[in-house]
Formats: sequence, structure tokens, C-alpha cells
Amino acid sequence: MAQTPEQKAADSAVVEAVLAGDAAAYRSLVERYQRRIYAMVTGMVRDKEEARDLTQDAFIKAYKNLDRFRKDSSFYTWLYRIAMNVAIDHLRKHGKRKNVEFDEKIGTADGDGSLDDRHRIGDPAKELARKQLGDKIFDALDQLSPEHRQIVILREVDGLSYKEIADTLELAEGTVMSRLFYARRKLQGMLKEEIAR
Amino acid sequence: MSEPSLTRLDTLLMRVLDDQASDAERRELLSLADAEPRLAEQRVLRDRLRSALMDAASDPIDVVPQVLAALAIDDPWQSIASGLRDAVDGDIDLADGIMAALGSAELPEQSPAKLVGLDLGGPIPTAEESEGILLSAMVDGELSREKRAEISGALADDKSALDQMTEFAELGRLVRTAVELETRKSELSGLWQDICPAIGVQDPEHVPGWEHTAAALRDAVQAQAELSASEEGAFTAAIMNGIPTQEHRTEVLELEDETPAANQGFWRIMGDPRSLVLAMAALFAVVLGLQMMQTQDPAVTLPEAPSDPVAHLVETPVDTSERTSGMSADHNQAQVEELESGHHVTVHIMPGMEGAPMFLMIDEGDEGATL
Repeated sequence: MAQTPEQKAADSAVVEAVLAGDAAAYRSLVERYQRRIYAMVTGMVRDKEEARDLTQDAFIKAYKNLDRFRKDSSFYTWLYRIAMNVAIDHLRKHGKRKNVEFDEKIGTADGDGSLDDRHRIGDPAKELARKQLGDKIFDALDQLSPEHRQIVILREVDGLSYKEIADTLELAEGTVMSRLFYARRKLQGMLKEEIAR
Repeated sequence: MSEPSLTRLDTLLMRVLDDQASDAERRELLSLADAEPRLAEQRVLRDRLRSALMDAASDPIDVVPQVLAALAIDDPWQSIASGLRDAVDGDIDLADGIMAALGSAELPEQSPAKLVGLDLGGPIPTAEESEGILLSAMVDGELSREKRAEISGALADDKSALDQMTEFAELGRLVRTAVELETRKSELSGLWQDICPAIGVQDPEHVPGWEHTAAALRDAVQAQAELSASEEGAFTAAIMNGIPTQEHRTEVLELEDETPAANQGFWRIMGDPRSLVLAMAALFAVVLGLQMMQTQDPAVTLPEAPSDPVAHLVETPVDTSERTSGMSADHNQAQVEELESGHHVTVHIMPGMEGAPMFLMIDEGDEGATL
């Protein structure tokens, strides 16, 4: 999703305020982008706990390097790049993501007997099927190299244009184009049954 | 450096290149290089020489000629190499022969990717891959209008290409769904509080140690607020009984006359059952009257009811000079009923006067609405 000039200007203003000494102003940037960054990182590493930690790390790293941010560029793109690097570094250090075991508590009572709204589901069988499909998708994503996986996540999850992806990853647009195709082709081979449904 | 030292340096460098220098000779070479004035300013070169000589795995073949050049010692190989070049360079001209051979050869097919004008990076894709790359970009809406138009024509008859694009789109949907499934239950509200200590910010909303108190308060309030099924039912009934019945409201909106005269018409929307009954009676009377007129004077031509009332509005000018008062909005106005409590509302569209449609919205859940 392309940022409007107004959004960019608003972000730059916050960055200036933080650099001028108002550290608490950074909160607005955290709250503005945490969900998108979290979704992207989850797409890369899958495990929610790890994704949360890595999202936190990304924001902290961005804060500590805020003086390197070029105000004429997009803060979001810059933050994205940091988050992506954090995620890829994590993948390289820890190898493939572990499959998250199916949480049997989903759809049933929580520990205190009440049913958390977040766990309310409709048909348990459908929920299970959805979960299994999600596992297959993530297993397939696991088979991609970090570079291919990040392109797929940036395009499909965050909806960035080729130009935005190229700016974020500091690649040529043509490279984005071809990497995305090769990633899709590989996913096609692994998810034939799911696509055909 | 004295001539004998320079000669010795040269000899040792040659032995290194021949991989015949002992450790002692390597150390001697380094010592001579450090003492050589012409290498005094070449610290990087000396460091590289040291690394090349001391590391058994490295190959000094690159650094030795540079040391020789710095020392302005002629490399005997260069004279041999220049001699070979002179021998090869001559009056050989292959260009004519090559161009003649190319004359009859077909130009290589330009890959579609190259036509896009982008540097794809990495290995050159095959023609099939190039087509796939273009289809992938087309799914993402990333091709120029001209390129899209160029490809679309060919795609219309290419089922496999269309299937490919459909699969790419489906892949995107699956990935988004999978990520959304993983993240939808995630709570990120505490992220800022977790970041604050790392960046040295004191969050004014955070009170250390408050979490336990907050949890106890929540539990206490929740215990008080829990209702049994019967209590909840009585509670709901009391609320619903207290809600006053909403009467229908009628609002007249002024609409700007944006359409040309030919497209103007009038709308009748009726919600009041009494007006509805009167309108229906008036309609039947008019239709009956018209039929009678038709039988009396075959010359009278009546406008035909349009088969598609909506299309007729667009095409035919309508004389809006006569109205049945109290039943329709005036020219450029729409009479809007807000049916807030309609249970079973049906909409009937029927030909109205002068070809304009009449929209009858009947709330069949209302006691007075009968036809």
C-alpha cells in the first residue's frame, strides 16, 4: 500500500520530534505500524511469540538508528527493511521455523473456565481444516529461500507494489519481478492440491 | 637499496612465484621489502605481500607483479607476453567474415521479459519463464497499459496462461489467509510498553506493579457483573420495553438537476398504506379510463409501457407537468421514506404515468398495509 505524501510527512515530523528529544513521540509510529510489521514478520517466521519479539526488536533497532533515517525517504519503507533484515537474520541463525502445534484449547474454555472471545469459533471441523491448510501454506513458505519468501510476503501480505518492494529491499524492479515469479512457481508445485480446490 | 639487495629481492620474488621459496627465504624477502625505500610509501602493498607470504593457503601471484612494478624491476615475462601479442596482432580482420555469416542468420527471439525493458537480474530466463514472469506481473497489475493490451489479445485464447494467472491469484489468497489466521488472535497492545525500557522511555501510562491490582479489580467487577440466564432475559426485556416506537419519518431531499432535460423523470415512492391504497385506486381508474379512450378513438396513441422501466428513464423525456398531489415528490426531488421498523418490505416496480416507473414499497409487516 503506497503511502501518501501526507503520511510520509507525518512520519517525518514524528521522527524529527523524537530526534529533538521527545522519545515518547515514537509511540505513535509504533502503534501506527506494529500490526503491519507483525504480520510481515509472522509471514517470515510464523511462530507468534518469535514474531512478537522480532517486531519489538525491529522497532527498537529503528529507534536506535533513527539518526540514520533520511527524512526525504519513507519511514515505513525504512522500518520495513529493518524488520525484514531482523527476520531474515533470525531465520539464518535458527534455521527453518518449527511447526506450531495445534492449540487444542482453541474453541474450548480457557484456563479459568471462560471462553475468550478470540477463541470463539464456529464449526470446529472447519476451524481444524483451516488450521491444517494454514500449516501447509507455511510449510511451503518454509521451503522458499528467505529472499523469495520476503518478496512473497511483501507482495501478498502487505500489498506493496513492485516499486515499493524494490525500494524496501534495495533491488531492481526486474529482480523483484523475477523473484516473485520463481517463488510463485515453487509454491505452485508444492500447493497444487490446495490451489485446485 | 643496493643493487645486490635489489637483485636478491628480485630473485626471492621469482622463487615465491615458482613456489620454491623456503620459510627462511620468505622471511628474508619480507625483511628486504620493509627496508626498500621504493616500497616505504606502499604500506598496503607490503601488508598484502606479508599476508601472501605468511598464509600458506593464499596465492602470491597477484601481489608479486605489483611489487615488481613498484620496484620498477622489469618482469621478464612481460617482454615475452608483448612479443606474443605482437605475433598475434596483425592484419587479421574477422569482422567481414562474421558479419557475412550473421547476414543469413535469424535474430534471436527477444524474450518477453526483455520487451518489458527491465533488468531481471540473475540468470537469463527461458522463453517459457519470461512468459510466466509477464503473467505474474499482469496478475499484480504491474504491467503498463500498452503491454497489457499487447498481451491480453493473445491471452484470450490461451487457456493454460489464464489458468496460470488464476493459480497465481489463488496462491496470493492462500498466503494472505494463512498469515491472517496466525495473526488475528494476536494481541499487540502491550508492544509499546515492552519497547519503552529498551529505548529509555518512561511510559506515563505504565505504573510498575499495577498489573496485579488491575487483575484483581477486573476479577471483582466481572464477578459482580455476571448475570444468570433469567436475570439476563429480564434485563433485556426491560430495555426493549423502554424503547419508544419509532414513527416513520419523511424527508424531502433537494436534488441537483444534473441530468439533461431528456433524462428527467419523476419518482413515486410510497410507504403510507392509506396513500398507497388511494394511489392504487387512482392508477386503476387511469388505466381503465385510458383503455376506454383507446376503444373509443383508435387514433389516440398511448405511450407504451416500457419493458424496462429503468432504461426508459434514461432514454425518453417525460412530461412532469401533471402530478397527483400529495403522492409524489416534485421535479428534482425525491420523497424518501425511512422504514425503521419494517419487517417484510417488498418493492414493486410497475409502469407509472407517462412511462415513468412507480416504485411501491410495501411493509407487509405493518398492520395497515393491505392490498
